[in-house]
Amino acid sequence: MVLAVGSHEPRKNQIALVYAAEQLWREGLSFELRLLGGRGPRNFTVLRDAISALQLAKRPITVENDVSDAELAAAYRAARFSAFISLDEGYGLPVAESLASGTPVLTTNYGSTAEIASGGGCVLVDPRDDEAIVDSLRRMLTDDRLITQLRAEALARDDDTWDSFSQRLWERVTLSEARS
Amino acid sequence: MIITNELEARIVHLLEHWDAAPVRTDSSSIELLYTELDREPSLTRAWEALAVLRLTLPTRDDVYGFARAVKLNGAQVAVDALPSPVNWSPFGRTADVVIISRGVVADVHTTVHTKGTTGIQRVARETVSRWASLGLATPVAWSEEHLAPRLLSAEEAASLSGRSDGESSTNNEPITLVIPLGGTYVIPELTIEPWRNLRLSAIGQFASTSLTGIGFDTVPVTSTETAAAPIAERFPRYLDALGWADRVAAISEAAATEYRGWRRMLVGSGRMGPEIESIPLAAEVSQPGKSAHDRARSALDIKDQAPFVLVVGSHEPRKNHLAILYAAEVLWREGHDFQLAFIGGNAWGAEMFTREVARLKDSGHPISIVSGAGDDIVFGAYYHAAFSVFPSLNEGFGLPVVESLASGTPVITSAYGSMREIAEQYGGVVLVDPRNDQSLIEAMRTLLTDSALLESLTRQAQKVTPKTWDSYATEVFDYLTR
Repeated sequence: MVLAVGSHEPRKNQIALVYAAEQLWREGLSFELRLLGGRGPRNFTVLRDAISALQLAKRPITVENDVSDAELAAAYRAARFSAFISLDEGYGLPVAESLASGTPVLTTNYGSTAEIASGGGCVLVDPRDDEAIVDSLRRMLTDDRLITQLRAEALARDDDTWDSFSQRLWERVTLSEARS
Repeated sequence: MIITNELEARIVHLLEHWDAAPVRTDSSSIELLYTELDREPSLTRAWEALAVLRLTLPTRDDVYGFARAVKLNGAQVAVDALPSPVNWSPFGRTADVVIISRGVVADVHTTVHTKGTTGIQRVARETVSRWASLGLATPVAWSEEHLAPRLLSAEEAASLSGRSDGESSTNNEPITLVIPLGGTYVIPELTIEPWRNLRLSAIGQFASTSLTGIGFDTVPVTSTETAAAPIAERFPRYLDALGWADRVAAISEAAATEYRGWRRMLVGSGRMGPEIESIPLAAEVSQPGKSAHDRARSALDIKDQAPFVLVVGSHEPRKNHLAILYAAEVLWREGHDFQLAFIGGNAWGAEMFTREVARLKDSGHPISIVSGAGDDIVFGAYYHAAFSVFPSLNEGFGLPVVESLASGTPVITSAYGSMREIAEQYGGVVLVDPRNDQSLIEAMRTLLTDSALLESLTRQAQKVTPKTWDSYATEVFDYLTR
């Protein structure tokens, strides 16, 4: 199962992932694509239409809009890898959350997601290049050794917990208060 | 798909642009188009096929959607699924089409639809009218539906070259849509309309056409408090389009600095952003004759017994005209005798300015306000002025500063940004902190009382010969289309 977490809006670029999945289903690969995230703007119909068409064609693609934290955690654990090929992020929580669950990530090869990925467990791709996404997705679906290695990398990461993050944040903001 | 002769001609044009094999007699051009698209369904080809077949400049979603459709279903199915071209009606085609191959298109949609003469419109007119008359570029505006550019109407062309009588009449003649293939698409104005930026952005991202533009300033980002709300809200979409451009000619080093700061941010969206170079503007001053002197004198009610202080520019908050009124009132109360005149259009956020002017007039202070003045009045007014005042909070360039100097009139202006650049280049300038009232009062008091200094500044100003519009137009064209 391939998991995509994030609200359904143009910037998150799920449409490119859906396109790549369809190409690989046509090649005969067998996998499920699960999209978890908010419904997004009403007028953003491109993704909804693509999913409807593929569901009518009996492709294994599902969408869940309202998911609890527990369900989200279970989904990360159940996935072979997750895909988050957003066009622009300030950080990219779904990348960090997936890695924290020990699940490898296919993500954007620049900006903040590339920063997170430098700690290991990720495959990077140009989110504007459909064919590059098809190739990366195929590799991650077919190369078991790659997934094993990425899982090991993900588990070996030393990432912040919310406890330590909030403590560091507090120290930083109160420090600047003291300075001014 | 119904293939008319006209569509056939467009498809042949596109195939030639792709260096595709010449159309053989035994296969139709549309079949060759399918073959070519199936062979190489790139995003660039998707943009060009959509533009040529639909006569609509596609958006990013159109381009990706069409390329994916070609790859999933084949070109023939993808093309058949496209809506009719916009120039189609049951009676025949509704618009002519011209495909401009490897040429230069200049988008002056806003400039030909406004009568205003802001700095931006002046620059767009002075450049594009010259390029057009030399046959270097095709000026365009957008179709009523905002889907594709078109050739200018005769009236719009007249407005571009400044020959317009200002009367606009309804125009029902068929239009000629313009589809660029390769070449350069130049934005010589600020494109603030979201619908236009959506399609310009896709030119920059996908088309083989190079997108370039003149960069005026990023005032809505760096001086947001002085920008009208609709402009401030829409400005990011203009920057998005420019983010896909190849080159931006900034109108001063200060403007280039602003655009370079913005370009650094684009790393976060995986983009390089355009190359940015500073090409400072021209400023030309016609030497006003005796009759212009007299017209300016009567329009501004100039009396000769007191020094005449001139302010040129619209009354929007960024121009800081309230600070000038305050400084003038302080100096009048101190007993200084001088006359103050503003030439400039009314603008948003000028209510307080208008009230203050009325109050000062009622108290008997010599203030005159003129709006909608032509160049002859402006240059005639500079002739009469002892000095001019331009303490703007942020300028891309600051044309009134150079125009004042070129008229031999010293200027008080802001001590930073493009205004400081002009001062450093030319002389004849007194610099102030526009946010510090005292600084402006002192500068004005000095020029009203220190006649030796005023004379020396006037001599410096009289030596100023700014760049001509001819030379700016050539310089900026060479950079944007190289």
